[in-house]
Amino acid sequence: MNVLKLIKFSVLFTGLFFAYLQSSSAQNFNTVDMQLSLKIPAIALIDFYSNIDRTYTFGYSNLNNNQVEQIVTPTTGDNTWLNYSSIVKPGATNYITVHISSGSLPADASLYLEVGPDNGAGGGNTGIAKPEVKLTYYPKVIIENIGSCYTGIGTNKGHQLKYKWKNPESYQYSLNYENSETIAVVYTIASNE
Amino acid sequence: MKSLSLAIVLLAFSFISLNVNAQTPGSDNVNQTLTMGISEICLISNDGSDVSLDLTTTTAGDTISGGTGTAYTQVSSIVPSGETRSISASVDQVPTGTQLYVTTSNPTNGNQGGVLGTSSGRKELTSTATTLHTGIGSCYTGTGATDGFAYFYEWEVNTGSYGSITATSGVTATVTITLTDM
Repeated sequence: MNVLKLIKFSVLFTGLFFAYLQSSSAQNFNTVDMQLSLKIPAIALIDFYSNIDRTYTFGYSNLNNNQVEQIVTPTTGDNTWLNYSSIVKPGATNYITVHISSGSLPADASLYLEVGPDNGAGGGNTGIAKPEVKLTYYPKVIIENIGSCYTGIGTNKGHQLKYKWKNPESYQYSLNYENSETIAVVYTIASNE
Repeated sequence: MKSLSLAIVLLAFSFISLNVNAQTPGSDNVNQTLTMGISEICLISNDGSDVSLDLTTTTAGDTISGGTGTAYTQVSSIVPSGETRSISASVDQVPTGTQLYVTTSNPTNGNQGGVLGTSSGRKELTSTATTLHTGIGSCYTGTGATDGFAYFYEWEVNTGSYGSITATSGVTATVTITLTDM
């Protein structure tokens, strides 16, 4: 009786075991999904670099990532390079304005800014420079249609800025500098969204 | 009469000793048959958490960068004799103007064992499956979230098509990873 039970159990077990073997031999591949969360924030960053030591003759402050201030004198000339980085939402573009933020010019003196084209050191859709503008306290667009792009960092990258003074001698720079009446301009990058 | 008694006694003794011999504890042997099976196993999993990759910069004039992150898959594998397995992967989408790369590496934290294979190096992930790791034999990696094969992701811009990059608050790309026979 015991022997019979033993035989029955053995047959059952062996049968189950081979059935298991059969089903698991079919499992020779397996797949898993891995989720990646990809983000690209919109950005608009601006800064400038100068061929002249900017800490000696010029002070500057990075007001925030979207604005930067430069002190401009009759010797600033064409030594300034504007750099920016931009990532835009679909259909949007960024633009750059300039305005006089502090100091005052005599009535017969005036300050003009000519912006050169992007010199190709970076990549993407850099902006189009406007013709020469006369600087005032009110912002004027100097570069527009900026898409997703980067200019590169430093002098000889991005757009060259050329400052032109008319009747600078009536400005009396050194007198005005000591009286904290220096002319400062602010470059601002903004979105047209 | 005496010789008969003696004979009987002697005979009795011989039977006793015979019986004793037959029943001495520890001298008997019996066989137990074990049928030992090892089934083929091919299992891969991960802890299911997202890998966050961000592309940005804080320096005017610079490209966006910094989209790196690491994830893991745990594996248990038993192969038939002479067989090895490989890991391949594909991705369902990558934002315009960017490219996604991954590099696998073997687990090294001590929770692993067996034949873990070799990384195929840095590979670009596209919608077509590409081999990331080969020569995986019978092995195990441990079951913890940071056990297992490591996947180092590098999400980069394509400077040649930088102008086509647009801001996105979050795109979920799904990487499908397969452990399969060579």
